[in-house]
Amino acid sequence: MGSALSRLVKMMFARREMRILMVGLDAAGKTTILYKLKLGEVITTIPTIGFNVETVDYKNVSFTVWDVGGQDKIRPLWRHYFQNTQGLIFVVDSNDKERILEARDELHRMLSEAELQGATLLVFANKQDLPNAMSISEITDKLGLHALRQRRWYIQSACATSGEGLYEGLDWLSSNISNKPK
Amino acid sequence: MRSRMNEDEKNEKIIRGLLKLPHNKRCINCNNLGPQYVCTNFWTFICTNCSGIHREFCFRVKSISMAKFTSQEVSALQEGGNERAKDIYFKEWDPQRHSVLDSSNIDRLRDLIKHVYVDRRYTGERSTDRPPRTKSDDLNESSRGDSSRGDSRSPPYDDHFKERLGTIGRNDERNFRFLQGERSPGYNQGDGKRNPRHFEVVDNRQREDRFGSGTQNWRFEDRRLPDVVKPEASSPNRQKDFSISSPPTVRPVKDILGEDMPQLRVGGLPKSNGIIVPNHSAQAQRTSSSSSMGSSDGNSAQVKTVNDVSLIDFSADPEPSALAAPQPSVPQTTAAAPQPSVLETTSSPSNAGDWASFDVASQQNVPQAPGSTSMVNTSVLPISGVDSSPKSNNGGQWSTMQHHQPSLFPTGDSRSSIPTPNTHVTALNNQARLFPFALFTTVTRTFDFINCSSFSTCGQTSSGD
Repeated sequence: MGSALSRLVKMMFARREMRILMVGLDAAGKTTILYKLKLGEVITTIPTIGFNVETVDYKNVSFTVWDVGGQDKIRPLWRHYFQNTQGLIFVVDSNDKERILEARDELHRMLSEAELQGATLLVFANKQDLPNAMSISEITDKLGLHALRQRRWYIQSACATSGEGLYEGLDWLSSNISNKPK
Repeated sequence: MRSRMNEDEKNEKIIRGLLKLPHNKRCINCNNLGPQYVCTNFWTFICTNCSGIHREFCFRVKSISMAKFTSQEVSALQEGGNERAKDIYFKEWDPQRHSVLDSSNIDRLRDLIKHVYVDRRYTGERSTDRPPRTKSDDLNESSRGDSSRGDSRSPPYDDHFKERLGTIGRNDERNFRFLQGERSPGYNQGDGKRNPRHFEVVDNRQREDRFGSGTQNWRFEDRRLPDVVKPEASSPNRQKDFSISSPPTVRPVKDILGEDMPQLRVGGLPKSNGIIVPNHSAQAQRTSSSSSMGSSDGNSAQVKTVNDVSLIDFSADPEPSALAAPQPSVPQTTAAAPQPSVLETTSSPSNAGDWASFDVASQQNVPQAPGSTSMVNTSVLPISGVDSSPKSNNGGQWSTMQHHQPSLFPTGDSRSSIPTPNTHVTALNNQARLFPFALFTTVTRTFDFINCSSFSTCGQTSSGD
């Protein structure tokens, strides 16, 4: 009884943890998003070789966000970060019409991996502040999100430099995250 | 598959060969030895720092070792390269007049890249149909992103662009149009957000002017102040506040402490590094904190402390899965990739002395970790260390700290109007202590929900399972 109660209290007040993997093509804005969330600042980033990881606390959830470099030769390394990932953030440059199909391929290739079967998918349609950004529906189409089955997904328009949309994305993640895989 | 591999290898070999050409041995912008990136807008070879800045301007960069190049790209690079690009973009560049830039000074690099590739000051084509610029010209341009300029100039500008960058995709062109055409309202703001120092540079010129002629631009910014300064504003606004509210910090110093000025100069900034930036007090803080070893350590330590706080929470939880999982993956990536995942750290030493700050930072951290969790913490700290090193790499650390200042002291705008460099430094230190505690509250609470809700989020959910 006591333990059940304490568990309940813990459930209500304890900080939840979430392991998030953030990937996307190079120059999509992953690192900028990460540090915008972490520091509230826009930092000058350099192309990520390897990864960055930060914990971001938001609404009693502690997100451990892994931001992995997206240049084409290091994309095969993404899979090494899949294990125990509860939430997958896929960042897309909304202005990069030329590579949106490349992004789609990478996304679907990734989602077919067994290790990510339980992960929820959040797509950040980043750089929405630029004048020629594709609309959310266009990106949804081009990424083939509607074809996804057995997957919780959400697409959020975002602008990493202003921070718009980022916390909405985290909101969605925190309320739709799958239970922690044991 | 195999042929694809071969082609990739062949292409990389060709590019590596191009790197041996005398002009390609150094970064075209900052003369740094051994450029690692290619800008596919201008087909130039650039260093890591410059690649980061190029991305800010929506130029595409590719790492020579981490990206694949198509044959078309390789041939374009063979035709391009730094030598050719120098003839175009640096045509009127006078090495006597312009000193070689220090690649560690991100803000001057950013200005340079903006002037060279966005404004195209040195292409030599505009100077004929345009009177030589006066300082106030520059002022108007960069402080307001004046629309008159954009309008009057955009057609020839566009032509230049197409002609120069014939091989560039539509995308770049569009971005570029954005940069110059639509820049007027948005661009500068964006730039300011990214880089408050951009404003400061403008202000330096303004200040030079101020003694001579009128201060119209100055007033223009002043006028905007009451509107913009909102202590409760979200982070972008905060930065805007900073960039706009910082100029007044200088002017009264000059006005009020007129004779003390040389003293302030010495105490304030130029001492801290060799860059001749006028003694803008905010800039003084920043340059000193970014360049001097001690304070930059302080910065990283401070960032680390934030990490530390969260990590303690994090490791206090009995389930270390997030902690444990990454660990094996690090060696994995190291093994899987020819360039290990730690490469970001290894790139630091080449940028002079980052290792030192990294070491100090993690050392400072360890004692802070509580005894019970110190095992976990110390095992994690190197990771956070690794991961903050790119920040020190690219000068992100100063931005981290400095931008926060106005937010932590929202009244800074009135208060800091009569600062001496000393008070600024102490304020800096105090804030360094405040920082970890204030950070999350500012990040989470001051998020501007009005902004967010007005921002269209036409996402969709589908719960398949």
